[in-house]
Amino acid sequence: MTTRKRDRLEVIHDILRIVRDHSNSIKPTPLLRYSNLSSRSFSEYHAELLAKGLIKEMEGRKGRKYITLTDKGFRFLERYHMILGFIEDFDL
Amino acid sequence: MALPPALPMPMPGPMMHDPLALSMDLVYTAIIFVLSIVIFLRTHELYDLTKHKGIGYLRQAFLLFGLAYAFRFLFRLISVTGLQHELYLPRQLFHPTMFAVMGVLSTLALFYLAYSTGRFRMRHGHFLMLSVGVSVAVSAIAFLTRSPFLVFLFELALVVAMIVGIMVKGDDGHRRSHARPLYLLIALFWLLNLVVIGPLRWVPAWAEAILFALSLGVFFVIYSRVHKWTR
Repeated sequence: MTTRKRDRLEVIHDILRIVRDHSNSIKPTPLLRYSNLSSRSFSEYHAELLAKGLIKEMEGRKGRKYITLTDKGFRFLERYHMILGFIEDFDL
Repeated sequence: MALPPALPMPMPGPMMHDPLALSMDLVYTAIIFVLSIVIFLRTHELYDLTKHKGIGYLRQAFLLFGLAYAFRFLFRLISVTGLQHELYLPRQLFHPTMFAVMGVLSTLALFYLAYSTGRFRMRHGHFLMLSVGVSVAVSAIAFLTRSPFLVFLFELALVVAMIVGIMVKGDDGHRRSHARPLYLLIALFWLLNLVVIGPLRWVPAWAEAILFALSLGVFFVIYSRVHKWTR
């Protein structure tokens, strides 16, 4: 079986999908585990997604951090196939 | 015998121009400008969601092409109708300034179009410095030497480099989408548009009509693809 490196958009899509599939609320540690990334890569993606406004961090009752999708994050998931199609169609 | 009063010296009038060719150019430019701006606006969301560099460069290329075409028409309109005399625009300043503006806009557009394909790998900062630096330098030289031909020659070299870069680098294993030939056609048609207002000013109307029709066809194909993915 061959493995291939996921490209950046695919990783972002996977992370957002995991958050959505966990009732739009997941702690960072399980998200790291499900996303199948190294902790260093995960930190970079986490920072990038926060900066782009695709996810946000909420604080739970016990002061624990939860990650949820923003409206923009939901829109990214909705438009993901369109984005991929556009990039492929325009050779970008 | 008294001499008859001397006839007043006729003032130099505006250059002869074909109103049909000018009207055709107006419609052509308006369509290209609108299509370019619509492509820029419709891809805003895709760029906003992804911050994908290729999408960003493609959008900027079309915005710059739209502006370059608008300035190209403005230049043609003012110089062939003699409006520059009525507006008291000194020819020595007006022509070089317009060439410089068109040069910056279109050279940058060509750089962005080439870079959007991802064939030319370079750090974003370095690319910006190179593209802006070269565009400004070429336009400054065109302004100082009052030679639009220099802009044309440089852009021709840039398009040749684009063609070679795209051909040599190949497909990277991706599915062939025929977008790159469209980019090359856009670049070539821009060069021909520069020729129409530059060295070969009096191109026959039928030749211009063919150029405009082909160029519009390419813009419409690109617009329809953008429309398909951004509905």
